[in-house]
Amino acid sequence: MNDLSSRLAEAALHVTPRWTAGREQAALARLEHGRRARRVRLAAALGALAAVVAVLTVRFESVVFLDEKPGLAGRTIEAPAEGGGAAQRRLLALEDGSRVTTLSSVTRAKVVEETPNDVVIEMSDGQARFEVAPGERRFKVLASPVSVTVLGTVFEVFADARQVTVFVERGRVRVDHLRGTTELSIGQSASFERSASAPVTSAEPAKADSAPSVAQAARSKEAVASSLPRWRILAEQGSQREAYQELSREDGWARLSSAGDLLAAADVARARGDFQRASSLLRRVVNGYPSDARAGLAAFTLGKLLVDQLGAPREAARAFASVRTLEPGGPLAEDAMAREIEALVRGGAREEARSLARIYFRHYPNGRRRALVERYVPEASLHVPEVAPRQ
Amino acid sequence: MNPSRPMAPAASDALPEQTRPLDPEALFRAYAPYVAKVAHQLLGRDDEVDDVIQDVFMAAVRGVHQVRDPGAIKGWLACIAVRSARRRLRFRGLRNLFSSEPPHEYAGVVDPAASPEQRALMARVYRMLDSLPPDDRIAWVLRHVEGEGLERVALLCNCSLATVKRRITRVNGALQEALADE
Repeated sequence: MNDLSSRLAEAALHVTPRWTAGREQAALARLEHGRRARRVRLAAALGALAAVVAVLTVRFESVVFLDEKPGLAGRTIEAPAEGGGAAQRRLLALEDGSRVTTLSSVTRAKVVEETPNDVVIEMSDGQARFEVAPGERRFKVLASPVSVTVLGTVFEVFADARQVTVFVERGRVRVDHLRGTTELSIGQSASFERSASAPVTSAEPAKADSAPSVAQAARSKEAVASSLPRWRILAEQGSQREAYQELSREDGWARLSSAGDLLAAADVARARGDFQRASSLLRRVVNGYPSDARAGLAAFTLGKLLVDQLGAPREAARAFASVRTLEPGGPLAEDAMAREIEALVRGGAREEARSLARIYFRHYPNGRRRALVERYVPEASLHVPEVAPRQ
Repeated sequence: MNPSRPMAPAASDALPEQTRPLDPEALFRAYAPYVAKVAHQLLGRDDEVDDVIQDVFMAAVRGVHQVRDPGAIKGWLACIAVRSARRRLRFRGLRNLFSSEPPHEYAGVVDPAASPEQRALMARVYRMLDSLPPDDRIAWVLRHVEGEGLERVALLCNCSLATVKRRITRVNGALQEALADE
């Protein structure tokens, strides 16, 4: 064994790699490559992380959860101070998934009741969007003396000292006022005087595809279902994904042939994030059905899409301008003019915005959108004499 | 030193003082030959040495700033090389379980300057080592091939001195049995 040990020791001296200068250079190059690849992977991971953080920030920077605990009764949601812009909208999230988002700088809303069966929100002023989760719970918005009762829908309420306006974006609502009850369906809007509580203006859909009236609502669900295309039933049930798939099948988008269908389909496309298609559908309403009562609403929605989602402020300004043409003096006229000013500023047409802002201040010296216009064109209000509104 | 070897393994002493702040390339040039030698001795095959070098220096570049004593770099790199080699030996053992390939011959384990007898002896030794647990093999190779002291072997294997001794004794017994005809 001793002999073996010494032979092993001698042989072990020869257990060496063939390490040459060329091999060293190759190994060094491989190491450098590995380090670069690692840096790239690290940068990619950091980039992905930054993107996720950015998306979450953009998504949630506008969100202020006033209370994450169940039971929000008594809590209020108030718009941020002026100058916050759209990015600082505030949101109240209810435990069932329903959401209330402020849309103006003067919004005040308060949860006055929240039980397993009822949610009642009192809104005294401003504008807010309500996204009501489908369910058995009754959801009611009080903008005294008007109350809006809904079940699974998205709608907006404008409330000022004179009137309350309700826009239904999805689903159906029932508006109770002092003189009775009015049902509004997808794409419809109506305004109610706060003193008399009767509709002062309304954007009723054409007869052919009107939403069910009170009498119609008495019909069986089957009868209602049979009168609507399948995608529309799905959309009204809140199944926007299925409705979108149904419309995409055999190019159902191209076969839409009424303003109501186009508006509802645009709503489906918006809900699925397909803003290009939604804008195209809305254009079809504006251009193809200019006399339809909802053409102004379509143009307004188109403007919002173009400026908020598609980054096309100049086109948005033209869409908002068409609202004033389609519905002069209508419930959307003031908002459309204010948004047109905003779009012009964002599109770089400051001089046009300034001229239009002067017109706005003459027409609406105490307008709901005055703060928005002043934010974008602060100098315009200085040159406008105080005159009586010319509405 | 064997004259046929183009480059001699460097010792930590060979690292110039000014490179101690540890420029990665200087670190590599100073220690790559040593790491290559340790890896070759542990694995017995040249084809996996470059992978171990890559593992070791990728880890070294990331962690070298934590080394306070420049004199400890060599040992630290050896520790990383041992860990990397152990992973590869374990994987090799698993692969051999499910492989129908013939055992490796280890014809190239020694350098060209070795005699045919030395070549044959070391090839037999490494074939026998393939049948032993990687930890036993590593301890024996570090002790009898690399020529490290027992305490340093224990340090590199991250185990006690007694464990190292037991491992080396097991391998010696197996070697005596396998090489009885030598």
